[in-house]
Amino acid sequence: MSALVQILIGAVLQGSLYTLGAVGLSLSFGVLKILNLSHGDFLMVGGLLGFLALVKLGLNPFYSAVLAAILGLAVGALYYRFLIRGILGRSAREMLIASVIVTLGVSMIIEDLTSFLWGGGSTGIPFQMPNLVVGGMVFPVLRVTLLAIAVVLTVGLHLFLTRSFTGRAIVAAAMNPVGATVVGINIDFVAIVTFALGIALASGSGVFYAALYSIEPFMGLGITLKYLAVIIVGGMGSLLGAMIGGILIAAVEAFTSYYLGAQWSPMVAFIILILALLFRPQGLIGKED
Amino acid sequence: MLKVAGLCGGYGPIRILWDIGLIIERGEIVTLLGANGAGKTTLIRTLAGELRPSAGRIEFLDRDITHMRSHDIVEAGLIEIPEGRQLWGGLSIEDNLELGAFCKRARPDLKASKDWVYSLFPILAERRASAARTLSGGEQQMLAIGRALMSKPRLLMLDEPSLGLAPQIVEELFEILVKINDQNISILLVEQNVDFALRIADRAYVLEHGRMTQQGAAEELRTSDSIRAAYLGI
Repeated sequence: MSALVQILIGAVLQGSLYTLGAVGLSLSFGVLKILNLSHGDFLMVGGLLGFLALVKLGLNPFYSAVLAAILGLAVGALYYRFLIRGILGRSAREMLIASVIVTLGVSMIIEDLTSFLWGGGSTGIPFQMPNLVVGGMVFPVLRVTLLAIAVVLTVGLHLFLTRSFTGRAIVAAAMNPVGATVVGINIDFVAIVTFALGIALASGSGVFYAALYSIEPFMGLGITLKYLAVIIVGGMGSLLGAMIGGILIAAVEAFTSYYLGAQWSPMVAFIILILALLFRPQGLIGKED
Repeated sequence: MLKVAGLCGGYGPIRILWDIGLIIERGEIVTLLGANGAGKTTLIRTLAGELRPSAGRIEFLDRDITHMRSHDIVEAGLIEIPEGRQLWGGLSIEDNLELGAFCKRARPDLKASKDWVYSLFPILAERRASAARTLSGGEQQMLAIGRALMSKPRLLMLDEPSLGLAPQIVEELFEILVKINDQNISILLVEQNVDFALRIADRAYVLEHGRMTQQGAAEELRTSDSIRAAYLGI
């Protein structure tokens, strides 16, 4: 029983990391219909930045995550301006193909550059926080803090999208770009904010990823695909969906590695993805629309 | 308030508008008549900044807006109500209206504008929480007009607002346009329903094959033989 609860707690904490990473992907896919296959690479670069910041400057990962997110915002804006902007406004089919080609190209460039400059090995951020033991249950403080950050960010993002004028304009532009133009929403501005925010979330969460696991130059695409599974299972373009999908996949992974062995857990996300696409393609909380 | 001179434009290399001249004075209702394919929608979309003009000049409230982008034009006080309305069907009426006040100039007065729109269209107030797609065609047109009013426009451009609506709804809609005009908001009205349009308009222009061929007081055009033959079917 206690092992079961411990696994569940671990899954919720793990799921919060997935949520943090997947929310950014969900934004650019849900709002802009841009499938950003380089998402995981920005997570990796963010993790690398966090590592360098701690080792070279002694900077705590909580600070370097903010720093990585701000850098991600700037890089994301440039990425949008020079590579993504030209793709938007085409037919859905053309956009999907073009976005896969462009972002896969960026992914390859980032991966090769990183392995060339950094080497091919894997790295983790050597940052520890104590474990908290409550009633025989072990709570790793770093992960609990991460859960809190993920919840605050997801709720904050949700409030931004539903309450602020800019956030509502983002949602409105996603639903009907022509209507948005008519009322005076600057579509180009909305798109750049959305895309840059997605990259910023990837880079920022990468620091935590590297603090919990290790990163290596060629991990990006695998991460992107796993997060893609998270947002499809949860419901495309829905923040709550990203959270539910993240926790669900983390839980099934945890049980799989406990009962069947750790080597089976990497394929779990994709089995769940296939089941979701077969039986509930709109996602757990997505609408049919 | 709106001065258009020598305007040419269209879709990319396809030229549709030729040397257009158009003047709208403060407080006027001007109607633009013309057969299908004459270029009426193209002209409105060009004035709204959705299409780039290839030559000519558009001046609005003494500012050159020829090359402004659509969001800056809305900010300047010129807004279009497009054909097909382009509402957010999945969002509530209230949300649709509030998004209409997106431009910076309109945001501080959001509440007052909303109250005014609800007083113009009581049916929208009654159903404020319903999704826009559940409204009838006439109600959706009212919402589209209301949403445009939320931006506190000085000039309202309507593209075929009566399309597909029952005659008594059209009558109601035109009465409200006159009410809106009473608030010192000028109106450019593109309408197939020529009889109605000429009744509320001060002046009218006729667009044929992308060129302005006639203009004059609405009353004059209403009695002109060529207009009666071409558009009123008399």
